[in-house]
Amino acid sequence: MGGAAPTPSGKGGKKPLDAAINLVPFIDLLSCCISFLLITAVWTQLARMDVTQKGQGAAGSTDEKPPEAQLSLTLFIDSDGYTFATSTGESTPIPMKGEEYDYVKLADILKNIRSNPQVPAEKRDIAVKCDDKIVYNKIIKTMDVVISAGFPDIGLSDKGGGG
Amino acid sequence: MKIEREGLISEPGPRLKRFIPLKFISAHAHGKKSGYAELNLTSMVDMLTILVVFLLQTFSASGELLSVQKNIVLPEAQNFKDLEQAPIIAVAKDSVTLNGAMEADANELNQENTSDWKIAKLHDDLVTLKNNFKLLHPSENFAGTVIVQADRNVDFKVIKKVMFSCAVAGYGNVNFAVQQKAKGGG
Repeated sequence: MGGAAPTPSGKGGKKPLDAAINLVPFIDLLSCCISFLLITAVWTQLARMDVTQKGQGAAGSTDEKPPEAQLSLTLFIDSDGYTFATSTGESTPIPMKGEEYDYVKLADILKNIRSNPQVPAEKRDIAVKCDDKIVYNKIIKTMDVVISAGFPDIGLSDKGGGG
Repeated sequence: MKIEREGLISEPGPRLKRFIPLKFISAHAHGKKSGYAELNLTSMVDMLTILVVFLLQTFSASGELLSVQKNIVLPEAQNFKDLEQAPIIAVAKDSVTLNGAMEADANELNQENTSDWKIAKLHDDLVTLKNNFKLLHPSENFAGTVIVQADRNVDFKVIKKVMFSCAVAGYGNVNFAVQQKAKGGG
């Protein structure tokens, strides 16, 4: 383990073709990298989910068209399941599946709405209205499903419609 | 203790009896041992390279903006955004804190049924933070962002009151802190 250049073996002899790379500086560099990355490592992977309050953000007030001309989507979260409603008067109850909410059915309904040609592509907002007794974890799971289905602008409020 | 019978214990002789022709002993018996030990560095470099690649993959340029309190278990989500620097409201089962300072008792918030949802102390402290920001950064726009770091078993009633207090104080951009969950994991 010497330098990278082949060492001459003697006078007039054939030079060996093998060259040994000096690994010591390479190991030094890797050790420094590992030390730096270990010191600056963040092991808890935390992130955020945006939400607007009803009447304050995209889910509420920035309408240029008159309210009756625009489709609004509302998802109610109750202790016995979801109810998905639109401003056209359609209402679809999604009962619970055992102890859990039926996230699969909710995703299917939202994806159908998303793929509906009557719903414009720029329609990204939905109002989520929760009962007071709903556990926070269920709300986040529901919001996760709603965002996955293509509605990232979530307006969260209580069932009464806001404070 | 006296040895009664002689000849049972004798003085130990040389261990390696040279008259025994053991080849594997005689092969190493002569000559000096080299003082240098050759390390096989290839496997070590491999290991270090794998470590560097793993640590680079898990590297976060934004650093640790948020530390989770011991009594809070965050919910998991697959759709998320990177964290931003903002005031942190921690909602545990029994307390509501703003940047570590106690603001309200979560149990009381959950039990009271008043029509006023505003948490007075939280509202006042948020307004103070907002005024401080405007004083310290006069050229910047106030984004009104706040991070709500709530336990997964907290009722929406408490979250609702926290959100309402934020909105009244001018913080309309509420972010819920979540734990990242790999997509496709169900």
